[in-house]
Amino acid sequence: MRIALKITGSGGVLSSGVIFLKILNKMGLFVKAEREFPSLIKGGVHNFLIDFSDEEIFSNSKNHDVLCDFENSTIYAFKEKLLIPNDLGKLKNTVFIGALCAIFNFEKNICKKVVSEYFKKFKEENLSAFEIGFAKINSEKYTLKIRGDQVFKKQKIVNGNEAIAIGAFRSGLSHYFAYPMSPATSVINYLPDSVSKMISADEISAVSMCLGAMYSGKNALTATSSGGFDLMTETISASGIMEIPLVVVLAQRPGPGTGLPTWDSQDNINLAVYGGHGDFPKSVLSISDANSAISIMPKAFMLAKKHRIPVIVLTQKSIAESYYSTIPESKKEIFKFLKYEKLINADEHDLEGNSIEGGELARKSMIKRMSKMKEVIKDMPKNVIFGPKKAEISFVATGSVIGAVRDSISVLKENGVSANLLEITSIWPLEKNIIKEFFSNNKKVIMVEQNYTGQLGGLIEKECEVKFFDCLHKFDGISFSYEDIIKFYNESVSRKK
Amino acid sequence: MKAFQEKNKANFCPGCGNILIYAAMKLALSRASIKESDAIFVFDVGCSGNYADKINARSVHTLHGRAIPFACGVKIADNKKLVIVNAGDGAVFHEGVNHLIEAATQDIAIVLIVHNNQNFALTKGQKISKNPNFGLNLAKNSGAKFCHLVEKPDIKNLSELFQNAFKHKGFSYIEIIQSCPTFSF
Repeated sequence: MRIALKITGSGGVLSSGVIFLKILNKMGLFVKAEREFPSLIKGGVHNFLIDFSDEEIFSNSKNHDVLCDFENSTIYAFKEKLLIPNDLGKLKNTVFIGALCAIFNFEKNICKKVVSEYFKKFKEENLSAFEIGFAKINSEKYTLKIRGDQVFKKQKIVNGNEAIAIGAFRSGLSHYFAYPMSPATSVINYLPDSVSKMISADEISAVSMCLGAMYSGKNALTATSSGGFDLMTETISASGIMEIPLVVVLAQRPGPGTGLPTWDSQDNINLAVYGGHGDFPKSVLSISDANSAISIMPKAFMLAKKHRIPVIVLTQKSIAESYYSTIPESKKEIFKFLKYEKLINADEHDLEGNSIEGGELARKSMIKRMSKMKEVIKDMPKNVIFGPKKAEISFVATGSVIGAVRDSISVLKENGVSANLLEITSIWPLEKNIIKEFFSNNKKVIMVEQNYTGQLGGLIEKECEVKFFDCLHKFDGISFSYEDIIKFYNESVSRKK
Repeated sequence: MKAFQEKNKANFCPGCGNILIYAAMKLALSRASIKESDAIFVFDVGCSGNYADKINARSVHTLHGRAIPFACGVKIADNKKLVIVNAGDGAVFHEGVNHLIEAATQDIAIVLIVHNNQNFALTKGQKISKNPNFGLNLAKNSGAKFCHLVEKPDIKNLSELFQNAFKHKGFSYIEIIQSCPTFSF
């Protein structure tokens, strides 16, 4: 059973959401949560969307079963309006948590333990506020008793950027350079003390320092967002010709310009694939949730170091600001790499690194570098199919959209429609055979992505010579819910019948 | 081949000021008994940068304006190395001026040698618009403790200055006014 909860207000939304996630985790429930907030420090409307279930879920719903409205001191629980005492100032949020725990019939003592562990200051005050909220609800009215199984109890709540930090640390990360930019910024907060961290003068400086540290044989990382990545492209191109490994995390937010700094998009796929002047070998990977971030980061470092190429790891706001139930893998996966002894040159050069002019040597150097792509593609993670191999309706998606499509597939299944999804983790170079096979097995393939021009769909159509049955593009900054996809499916199928 | 000797024939104009600066640098390296494996040379783009593949050393020829942050990354990752940046006035005062401020502010222990020929020589002598003490004042005001502007370079004063810079524990700034036989007028 799946419950959709939304917390909305202008203050205390984040802490209340995080505390409630910890309580859900203690109840053994599987969660997926996401924050929505304006580009402001204080004020404005913040939303915390929490979906939880006794089974695996992958996305947040558009609709809600329970809504907590901090501004109007109201909870709408299963369409019933409940008023919450509002004269407790900053403790009001804890009153809400107490009330929520009573609505879901959670064991009071376990919940109180979570609350007392969270608050280092004003512990007693918050505990009594919790009691007030808990007592406010007549829990006999709410008979819902949802609990997860033992496996889920071992899970932790991991944030998307935290997962990138965990994955990078698994790869042997020793240095991190960045210039703060939403939604990539918080990666730095999750890195352990053993990693040397530096806030650079700008993105150009951050990525150049990364390249310098990689040249020295260390594992360095930088994470940025759309406009910051624009500044980095010159150095990414240099990494290609200098053949120094480089790993850059690109956290997408809606552009162009400053765009919508705190909202969600997938409109930097072209930038990642085509960014940087000249022809040079590179790899673009995409993460879709905490688990994939933890497993893909070591692969990114392996690809970069083994083939001496730049690797771009795509993420997006709805992953960076999401919370997932997972058992984080912590085993190290370090790829050994030798330091450079010879001359390294960003000018075109011969095999020894000496600068050359145009002609046969330049032609040979280009062929030598570009031929790496044949080897890179063999080491890329495989794009996999979720659901059956053949289905009535099929989807292709990348990033956080994968979660929404997976959830919509289970809804379609309940309604007797078989559906499947090709999950694109490896964007560049694109492994064509898997995609072509998917298209030959499935007649109605729909591309679902979060940008105006259909950047990934266009790339797939061009590279694999296939044609999508239909495309769903969303570009309003709000991430996909499974309801969006079901609605589109109903419209698309009836429209094209 | 011996360390820091000329690997390929240098292609400076006859009478170029870079020749003196690099001769003094090599003298300083030998006087200070620096081993080949202990020093990393980061070159910017420009006439001075064209020396990257001429010296027998662990050298890197980076992008225009980006030699300083690359060198900072090398130094931060491998503190034991002597990291020497050779860059021109176009790179340090124009294209990558923010990186000079950062390296000086953060006191990252690289040795920055600015070859100031007062023009963009490699693109055929466009004039530089900065005033004579621009770089020195900028480095000083950004907190650099070792800053020198050498207006009348000779092999003795330069090589001694370089040796002191190699020993300095923080960021070192050495700017040399050099002659450009082709575009100085």
